[in-house]
Amino acid sequence: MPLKDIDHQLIDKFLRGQLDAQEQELFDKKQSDVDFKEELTWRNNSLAVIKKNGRQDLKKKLQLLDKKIEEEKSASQPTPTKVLNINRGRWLTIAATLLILAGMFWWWNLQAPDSEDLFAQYFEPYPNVIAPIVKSDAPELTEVEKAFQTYEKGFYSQAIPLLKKLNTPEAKFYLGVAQLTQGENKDAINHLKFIATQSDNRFQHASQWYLAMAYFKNDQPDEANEMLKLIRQNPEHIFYKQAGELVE
Amino acid sequence: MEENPIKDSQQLLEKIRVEGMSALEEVYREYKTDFLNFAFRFGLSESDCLDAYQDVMIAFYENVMEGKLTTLTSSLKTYLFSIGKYNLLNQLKAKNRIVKTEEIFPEIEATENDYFESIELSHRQQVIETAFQQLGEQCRELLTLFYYHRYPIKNIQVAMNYSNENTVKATKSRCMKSLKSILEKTEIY
Repeated sequence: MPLKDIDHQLIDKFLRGQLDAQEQELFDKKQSDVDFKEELTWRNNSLAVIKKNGRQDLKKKLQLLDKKIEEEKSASQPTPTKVLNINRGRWLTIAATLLILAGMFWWWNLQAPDSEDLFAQYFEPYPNVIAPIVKSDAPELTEVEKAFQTYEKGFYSQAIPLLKKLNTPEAKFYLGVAQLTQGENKDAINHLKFIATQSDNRFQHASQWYLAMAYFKNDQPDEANEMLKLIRQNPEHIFYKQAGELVE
Repeated sequence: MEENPIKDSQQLLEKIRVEGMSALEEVYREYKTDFLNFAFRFGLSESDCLDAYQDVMIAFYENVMEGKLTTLTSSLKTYLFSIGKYNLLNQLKAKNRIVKTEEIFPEIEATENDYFESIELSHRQQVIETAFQQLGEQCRELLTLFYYHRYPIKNIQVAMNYSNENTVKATKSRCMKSLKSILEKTEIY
């Protein structure tokens, strides 16, 4: 039996999740109708295609929206609007100054950066992912929370003894990072080296990166470069990109 | 007056149901920074985190439009974080990174969502997809608004500038027929 308009409407309502109880009953009954079933299969297949395409379009729209948001953000940054009124003589002075500055910049870049500079440029303490600070009614913090929250607040010298007490692999990693902030380079290297070789430790990647940082800080650029090369061997490494910037 | 985020979220859900995609922009702007700060804790790259945020937005949107999400039992932010956590943990798993889930934001429970199971089209559906790509842009848009976004006919009429609701219905039927005839032609050759 050819399908009527009402059958098409019923299928549409089903596909849009809008059947009421009465319609659902009718819909169930229709399942024995071969033409109805065939139409339903065809429309169900089309729906899957439309859904997939709809998702892709929506994703593109969100990506564009994000671009717009970022552009708005950079547009709202203050930009200098004042036009400088400068005579020719002053232009020459400015041009000369710029030339000298450019020359200095060039000369500066010729000098190989020393280890300490690289450390200062790239080191940033690893975020606390163990026991983040959350608003809580619990009156007493556990030892773990105390140690990691002291770390998160940036009180590294106070965090060091607390982390030492914990004696877990995670704590050892954070201990190394904290010691690095305090210039306790050798201790930091020892702790990080330990985690950096543990392939089942989720901080292995991070430890390798911080170990490289520690070597730079301790003026051991060769060891640091070895570690960076090791990181570069694994494109999935979470510090792969950063290591690439530093590896030369 | 005291702010009531859950009540506000409730109104927001209603707004999305009525206004569709344009209301989603508001949510996107509102929670982007918070979500990214949350996502960075999982140790993924910035672009992975942004991608995850956009996926969470789509999952949330689909749930609202499909009527699966009608009331929130927590704040909208917690809801977004919980489906986000599920997505982020999945991504870490896909990269073979071992994570002790209880250690990252233990107060937020990872919630599964249909959206994150990717749509694998059957062979038949792939053939239909090729035909769908050959439809005119207007038809593709109309069918997407009707079947994917589940916009009411009235909203489609406004969004696509049709003269009345009947034209929308007639065009929709015509588009489905065109899709079928393109498909039949492909299958003959």
